[in-house]
Amino acid sequence: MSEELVRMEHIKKFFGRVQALNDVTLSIRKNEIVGLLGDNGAGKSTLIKILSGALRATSGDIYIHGEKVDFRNPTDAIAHGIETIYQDSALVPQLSIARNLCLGREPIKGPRLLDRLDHSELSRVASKLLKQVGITKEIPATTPISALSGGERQAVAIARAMYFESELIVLDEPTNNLGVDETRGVLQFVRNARDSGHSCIFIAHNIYHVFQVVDRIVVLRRGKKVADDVDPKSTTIDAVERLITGMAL
Amino acid sequence: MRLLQKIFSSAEFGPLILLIGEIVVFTTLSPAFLSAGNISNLLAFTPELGMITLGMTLLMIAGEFDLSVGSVFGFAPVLMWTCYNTHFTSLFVGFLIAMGVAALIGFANGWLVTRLKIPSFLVTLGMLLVVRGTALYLTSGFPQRTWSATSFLTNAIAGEFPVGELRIYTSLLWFVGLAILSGYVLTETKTGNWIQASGGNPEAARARGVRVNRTKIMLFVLTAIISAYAGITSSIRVFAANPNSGTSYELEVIAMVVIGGTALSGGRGSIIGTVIGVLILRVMRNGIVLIGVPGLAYNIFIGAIILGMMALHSWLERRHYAR
Amino acid sequence: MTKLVRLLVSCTVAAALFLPISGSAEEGKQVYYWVSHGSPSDPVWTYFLQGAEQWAKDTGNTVHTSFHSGDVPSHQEAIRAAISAHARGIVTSTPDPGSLTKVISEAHAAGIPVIIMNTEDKTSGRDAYVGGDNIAIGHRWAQYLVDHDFVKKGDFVWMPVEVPGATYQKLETEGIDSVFKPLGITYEVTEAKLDQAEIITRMSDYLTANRSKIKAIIGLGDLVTGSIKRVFDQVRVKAGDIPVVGWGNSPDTAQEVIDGYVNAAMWQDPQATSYMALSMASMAASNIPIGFDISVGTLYEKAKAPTYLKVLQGASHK
Repeated sequence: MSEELVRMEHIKKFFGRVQALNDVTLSIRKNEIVGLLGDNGAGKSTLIKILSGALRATSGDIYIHGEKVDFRNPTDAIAHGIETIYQDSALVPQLSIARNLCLGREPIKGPRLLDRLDHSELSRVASKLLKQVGITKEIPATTPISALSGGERQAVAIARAMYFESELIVLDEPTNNLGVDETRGVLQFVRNARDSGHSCIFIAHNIYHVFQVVDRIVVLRRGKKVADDVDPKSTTIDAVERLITGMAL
Repeated sequence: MRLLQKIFSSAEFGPLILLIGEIVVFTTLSPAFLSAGNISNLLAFTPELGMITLGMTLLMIAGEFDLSVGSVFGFAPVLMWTCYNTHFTSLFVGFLIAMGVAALIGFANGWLVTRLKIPSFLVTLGMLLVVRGTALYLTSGFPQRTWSATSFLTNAIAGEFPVGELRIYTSLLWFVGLAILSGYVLTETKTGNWIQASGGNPEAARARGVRVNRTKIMLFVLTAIISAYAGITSSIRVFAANPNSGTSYELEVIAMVVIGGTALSGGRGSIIGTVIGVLILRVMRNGIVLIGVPGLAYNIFIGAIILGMMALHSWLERRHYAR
Repeated sequence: MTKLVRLLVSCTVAAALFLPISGSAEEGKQVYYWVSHGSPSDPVWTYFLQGAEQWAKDTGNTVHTSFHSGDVPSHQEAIRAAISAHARGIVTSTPDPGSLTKVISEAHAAGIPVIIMNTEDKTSGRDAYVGGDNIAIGHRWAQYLVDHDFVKKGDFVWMPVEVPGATYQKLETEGIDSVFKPLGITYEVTEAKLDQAEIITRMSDYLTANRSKIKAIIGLGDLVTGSIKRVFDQVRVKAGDIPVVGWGNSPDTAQEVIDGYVNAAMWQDPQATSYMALSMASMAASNIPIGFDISVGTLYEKAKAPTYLKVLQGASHK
């Protein structure tokens, strides 16, 4: 059993009088991909948003490497090593791949006053990361994001998470609007990320996608955790579906 | 060959062709167009509007507008010359006061936009009225005299000197210098990356730790300072500090920036394109007076250029992304 | 991309080839430049422009016209363009006192005469002035009100104007002040702007607020004086309740004089001003020295108003 990376304990979240999360405890270990499944309104997105710093829990705690943390915004989460990949990749479409990858922490050369970008370092980082994430096509690092396909953009977003040496990459429905080939590509990128030493937690609607990639499945239903440590290799899609909908075996 | 190809496919190519076409047409219709006298004439007024467009370009790339630039252009020299003419301060101190007040105006614009989240269009529209009204009230509408004073400062800002047959103002040098600096900042620095990100996808930028608000406030302050400096330059050169000067400049500036290829929606733009845009509109204004287009038909030409460029940009963009 | 380049190049070449056919036809003619600080949408300047166009037609000369809406740098640039084009003569109005001094000296250095029309600038070095003496005009308005016993010591006079701070307002106010100040009559200049709808709104607001204290009105510009009837009707002031004098170069004002809303209006002979100014320029260019200015301005009342109305209506129907 590898070391625990992140633990969310007794998380409750209310939106007004609607309870979105009811006492959810979840932990993620190093070097694993966790699949978070559940039907619409189960609370997956809410849980993920709390983890990524976009929302704050009504009650409950988050621990990273055993130490309690408080995320006031996504930047805090990133500072603690948690990166989130959204459906729209949160990339700047007009900027190049290299500039997007290093956005916020651009490499500088020369005196600080000149604020000069280190273009060769930018290119170097870009090619290294794109290769690491598994993009085999020759895409120049100066290509603007707007010229990439959906799958390629997700790859860049994942590569960015890897550049920032995040320990946990949170993926919120990353394959939602992608075609078959692109989906396969993104799933492979996620595997590559894990193999490079980054844990991932992956929400998806599509159980088939999740099954292909995760090490362990967690199921939420109506704000409560109803299953944990489900090994995809030793269960069926059917069984998991029933956990999601709550139908009896 | 590769350089030629790069030039052809750049966003600035369309505007460049238009500029060259304009110059060809005007020269053919009026040989005086390329005379030393007329070129000197063109280069006299161009730096003043041109400087403002540089600040506006960076601001628009960051996703914001500043409609108060014309008012600040008119207000700053009025403030400076009032301080001097009423013997309140020396000219240099008056200059510093005017620039300082402009910085405050820019800061107010930036603060209202980023903290209170009011669209910049509305904030700066309100500021336009406040500043213009202040200028009129301060002077009761009367222009301030300026030509009784020449000093090291006025020579440095808008001094005249001959270069062969041409008559050049120092403001042209400041404009060129500022253009080079802006271009450098935009393309070669971390700040430039942040400016583009703030306009292209501010939420994503914020999440990555980019100080979006700070960047925008800085750009509002910069634009205001540049507008003030441009207004002061103009007042020295034309020997008048009129509280009404600069009226409608904001729209002219935005038109120049957009013709040069900067997107109205932010995230994308170029300083070279802006400079070409400045020249396109200035050449048109100068040329149509020279060749005798009926005074009442002016705006048709200016409007036609703007529309034509927009259509061209849109066509080029579709081609570029279809590849 | 090459297709685009070919298209643009061919358009440019075509334009360059076709247009000289019209351009070169003008080369033999003498080109005069007529530069106005007014706005192209200002109806009064339309009459000035007509005078210039008529002169061009009558003499066979070419006149290039431009409007600059009060923007000093743009105005100066246009005059410099005329100098570069070796204009035979330049006729211009003045956007700001003193703003043309330098360009006029440049024109003279190039041997080009400059006649100022409409808005005088005595120290600018101009060859001659054609137009009203705005100080004298202001004086006449104020004196008219005093002579007809419309105002006396302690009274307040409202003076709306389109653009406060412009030369014409400054000079008119100077003339008015020379009559009112010694008599202890106070006044206020208010801004109405150049847009017709806005003028009516602003004037109506002011009149409503200050009605009781206003003893007379002097309209310092054509648009404001031409709006008196509409403003009075809006605020329910009867024609003649408040005496009004001012500029009368629009059909609106001429009609107002006939209907009794305005007591006396000043006609500035706009067509004649342009026409005579261009003639003066032509004369100076032929080295006939000019030793005089031409003064224009007639104060017309109800009796003469129909004549001017006819001129104004005739001109606008052309």
